[in-house]
Amino acid sequence: MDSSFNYEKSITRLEEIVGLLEGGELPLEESMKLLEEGTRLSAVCYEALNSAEQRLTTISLTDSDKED
Amino acid sequence: MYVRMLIESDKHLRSFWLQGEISNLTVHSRSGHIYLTLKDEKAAVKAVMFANSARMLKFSPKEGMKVLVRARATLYDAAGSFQLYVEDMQPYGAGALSIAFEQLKNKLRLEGLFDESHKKPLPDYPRRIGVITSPTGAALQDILRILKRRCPALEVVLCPVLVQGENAAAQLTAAVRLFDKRQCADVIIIGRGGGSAEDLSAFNDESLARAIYACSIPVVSAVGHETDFTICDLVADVRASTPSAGAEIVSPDKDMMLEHLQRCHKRMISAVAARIAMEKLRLSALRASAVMRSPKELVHIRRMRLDSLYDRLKNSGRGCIDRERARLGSLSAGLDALSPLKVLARGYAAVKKNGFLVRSVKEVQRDDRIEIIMGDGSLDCAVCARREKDNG
Repeated sequence: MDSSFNYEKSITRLEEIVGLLEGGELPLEESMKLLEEGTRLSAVCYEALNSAEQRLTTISLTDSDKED
Repeated sequence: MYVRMLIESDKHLRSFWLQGEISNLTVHSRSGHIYLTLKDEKAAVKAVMFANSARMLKFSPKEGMKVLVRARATLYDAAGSFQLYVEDMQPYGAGALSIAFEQLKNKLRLEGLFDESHKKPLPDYPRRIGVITSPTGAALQDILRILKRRCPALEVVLCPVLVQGENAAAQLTAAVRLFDKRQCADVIIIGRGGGSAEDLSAFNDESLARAIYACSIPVVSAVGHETDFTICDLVADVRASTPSAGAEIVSPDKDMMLEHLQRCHKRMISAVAARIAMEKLRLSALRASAVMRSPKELVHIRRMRLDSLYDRLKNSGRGCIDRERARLGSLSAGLDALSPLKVLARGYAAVKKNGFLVRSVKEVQRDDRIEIIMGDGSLDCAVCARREKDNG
């Protein structure tokens, strides 16, 4: 998964697209572009939800002492 | 001086514990020294606690409070009085920790650290869960288990700390600050499994409370105990009764998220399908219209329009010509009246010499041959004489 991927942002955009498409006020061509974007977003979100491996990283206080 | 030396050299009086009730309490506001008299049923002794020791107190002494003090004895030369230097003091009876806890709780409440209005909402879809707990405790295992079940895609960022003992509070505080500084989590769970009141004391630390209050990332306090709230519970944005409950609270449910995602997807597809169906309808309505059905009709209509325009042009052209013709007629009638031929017809004559019109008698000499033109013909004549008109 792309590290810049943000589920919340993606799902929010997807909801926005659904709203726009259901509003039906956009030119057809634009609607098709949105559909394409929405399909891509939902695929990425789906993948993110189903990536089954839990990842555990550790940050340690001593590292931060060195930083400071 | 000898007495003082005597007193200060006595090893029993150098450091000892004493129990008593506080009276005549004065806290010197400028120096921070505390003056008091310790008394029991039978005796009383003056005591002073210097500011550097007083600052270390975890509670504020109150008049009438029963305390346990560690002190050394001395003679105060100026007053000639025997008195104690108090080095440490703890509330006696009610339990040092609980009194200090109540006092700190009140102080922080008054400062607004527990205000609901300051509490941050938890993110709906966090990506990274920060966990501050012992790396070896059951709490971490509980949290990981719950998160894995509910939403395995979540990333867990652990900051391992001691959760009890002398350094626990400092480490917990540092961990909260570290997450805040690095912004490496969307929500933080801070906690440990259950324990006695003493075990939980690190979660009642004032610095920790302030760090949590200042933290820009939402904090869930998950200290395992059902009865008393820790200060950490009170200041946190959300309080969970156990680490497992904390993990439940922060994690979105994967199945619900999937369902939501699928619903979005479906709605999107059906919205577009409906749109396309509508466009098709629109298109077929257009194709059914007269013009599209027989394009010749369009040409026909255009031609009719062209014809009518041509007629109008023609008519307006003709009118224009007629008008000009009439104008020309009247003009030529006027012109006709002025024609020399008409003048000649009325009996006047014109004289020409060598084919040029003669306008003056001076152009003609005697014996010149001239031509006289009349309305119905001309005469060739010779000039017999010339008479000029008198210019008088």
